[in-house]
Amino acid sequence: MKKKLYRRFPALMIGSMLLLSPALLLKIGLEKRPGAQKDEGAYVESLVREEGTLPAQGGPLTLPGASEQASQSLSRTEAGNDKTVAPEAVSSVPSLTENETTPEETTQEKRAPSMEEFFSTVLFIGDSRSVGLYEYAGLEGADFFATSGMSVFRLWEKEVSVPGVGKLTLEELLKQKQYDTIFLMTGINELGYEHTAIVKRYGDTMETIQALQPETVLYVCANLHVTKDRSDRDEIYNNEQIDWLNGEIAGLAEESPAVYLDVNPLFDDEQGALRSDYSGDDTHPYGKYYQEWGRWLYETCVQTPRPSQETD
Amino acid sequence: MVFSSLSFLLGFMPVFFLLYYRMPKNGKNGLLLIGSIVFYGLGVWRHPSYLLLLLISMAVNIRIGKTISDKGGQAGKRWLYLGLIWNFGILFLFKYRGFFCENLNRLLPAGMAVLQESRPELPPGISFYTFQVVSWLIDVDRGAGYESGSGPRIATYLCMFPQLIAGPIITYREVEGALKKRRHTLALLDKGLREFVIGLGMKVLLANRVGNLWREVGAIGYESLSMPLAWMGIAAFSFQLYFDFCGYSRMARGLGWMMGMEFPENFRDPYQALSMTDFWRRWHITLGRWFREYVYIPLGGSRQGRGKTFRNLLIVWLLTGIWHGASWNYVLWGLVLFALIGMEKLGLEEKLKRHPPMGHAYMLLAIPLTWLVFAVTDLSQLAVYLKRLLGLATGSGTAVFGQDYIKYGKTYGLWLLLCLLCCTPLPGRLYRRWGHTWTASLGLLAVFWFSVYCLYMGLNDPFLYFQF
Repeated sequence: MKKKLYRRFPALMIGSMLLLSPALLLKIGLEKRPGAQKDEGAYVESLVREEGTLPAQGGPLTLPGASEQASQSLSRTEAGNDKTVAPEAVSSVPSLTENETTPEETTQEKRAPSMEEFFSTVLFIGDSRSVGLYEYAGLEGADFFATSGMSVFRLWEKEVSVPGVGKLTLEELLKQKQYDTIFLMTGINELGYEHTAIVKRYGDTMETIQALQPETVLYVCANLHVTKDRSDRDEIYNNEQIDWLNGEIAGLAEESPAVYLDVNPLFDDEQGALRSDYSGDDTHPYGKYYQEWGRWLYETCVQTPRPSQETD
Repeated sequence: MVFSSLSFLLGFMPVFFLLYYRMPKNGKNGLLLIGSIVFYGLGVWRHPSYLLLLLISMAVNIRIGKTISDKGGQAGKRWLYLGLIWNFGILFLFKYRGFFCENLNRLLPAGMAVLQESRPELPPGISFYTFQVVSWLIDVDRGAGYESGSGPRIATYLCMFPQLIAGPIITYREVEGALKKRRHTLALLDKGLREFVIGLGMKVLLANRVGNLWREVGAIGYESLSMPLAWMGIAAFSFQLYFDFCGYSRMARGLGWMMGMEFPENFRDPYQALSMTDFWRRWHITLGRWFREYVYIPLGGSRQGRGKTFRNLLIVWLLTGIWHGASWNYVLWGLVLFALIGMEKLGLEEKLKRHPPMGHAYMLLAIPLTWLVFAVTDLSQLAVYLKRLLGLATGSGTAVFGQDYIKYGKTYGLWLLLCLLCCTPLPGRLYRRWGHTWTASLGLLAVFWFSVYCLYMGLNDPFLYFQF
């Protein structure tokens, strides 16, 4: 009787191991074989852990009529305009003393909205770093359609609780509220996906946003680098991949009315990686640095002429 | 290689035990030795020199042990000192040299800093196997002797894979009998497998989960924590550390039983302790025992008056602190433990024992606060965290998200409560009562496969104690 009792658990373990282990080992082996296509499911545990299934790869995500509207709005800017903005651009704006201020500039300065005014008509769309901006940057009045692990592959399907608005999809939000400025801040969670699918989906997303909000200025933001330590040890989320993606996003912005913003120089070390003393997890800046980021966004957007102003 | 890895669970472990149980009795030790070398080699494949270091160290120590036994007396003692210098010297080179040079350079005038401050990656388990081999050398010197022809057996003892990289720190006399002759029964296999699965569940399903909260607290930055989240953070770290290390020890013990060996218990409900003295009798028992037997008692223990007792305690707790890591916070941590245990020796412990609710309340604060000193290596950041625990501002313009504890409470609240429940004697009582029912067996099977699933999905992180 006793022997029977002791046989039970080892039998269960050995039996289940014999049944399940080969299949699991085979699956792991297939995923790890050289040149194997990155599988979406394997990277569910992406930059920020979040359970759930990823959407099917590829396939345009354009809403009915979106392409036409987007192509109309394209005519607002001239091709070849350099619309990339990095922190250097902001610092290069000369700071004028009171005596040096021209009457035109004074009028323009007077017209410049305060930080509160500016962000009261802003929407952030993004992942955990946008969540960080919501929580720590103190950007009163801005709306945030952001959640940890967000990517362009799930942007349109996922319902998100937008503080002060409610739980809704991005499409519902964009149809419900009009924004002067939208910041699109996704990309890093997409890095586990196939490259062409990422770029296509990102471009479709930009078009769709512009179609739904033709009057808004869309800023597509570079993905923040990770620290050198993480970059060196991570096959997927490393700075080489991030720079590749940022280059693609900048390219998409070139071909559209959107403006590309690159905040990385604000947080980078001399090796072009996120400063290790700015981050506790090698990926996200500490809470206190989001204020700096928010301030930079404000200064950049207010001090840099908008695309529509350039072409007018 | 770690126990909570797919390569161990689905590769090394089944293959090893398949061979082990098929091996005739006289070949089992040999297989265990080879298996252990393979296990270590796979874990350090990026640094093959670490495997070489282990093998050389093993050979040198066996030779020294034999010489201590052969020569005896003062000559044997000299060989023992040589062994201590060899073992602690290697430990110093890898673990403490960087810290030592860094501080020496600070003391030297500017421009005089000639010592390099390199901090090489630590060979896995070096702190554990150094202490283990030193215990053997001292025991040989104390009269345990060296049996002729026991070299392979001692080599097996020194590098048995279940306890090689994170303990428990076993003395040779504890396993000598089993290494000579041991029985393999179905009951032991059953007991060992169950213990292993319980340990795996503690590590993967509890420690890793709540460990994520501690990781997120670090990512936010201590300046930006609300007071409730700061407390949740250290609670999470306290649970993570316990379930991580206790889980590992239980897996090691389970593997021991599966091989017919009895490894000592390393944890005994430490969070049920009523005092810090009591806590350290229940936490990492084999390390505490090592310091007691090889440092505290040889120094005179508590039998030479109060002054010397306190001196001995101070030495032991400073060494305990330093053993855990080469950084000033570990020194401070050792000092804090000394202060608490010293106060308890002066009469506080008796009072706490007489009033258990008072003891629990005291430990409810003392445990997480001492772990905080242990966890935060940067002393200025430690000060920041302590301020946040008290709700004090850490500087102007610091961003705090006031609702953070609600956000993280929703994600981790139930896990924290589950961890709290698992720190009580209740799960143990239930297991003893119902452990052999079909339901419990299926439950353990589910724990095993769910752990495998979590590891497969990448919800894994290394053992906390490996860095020490």
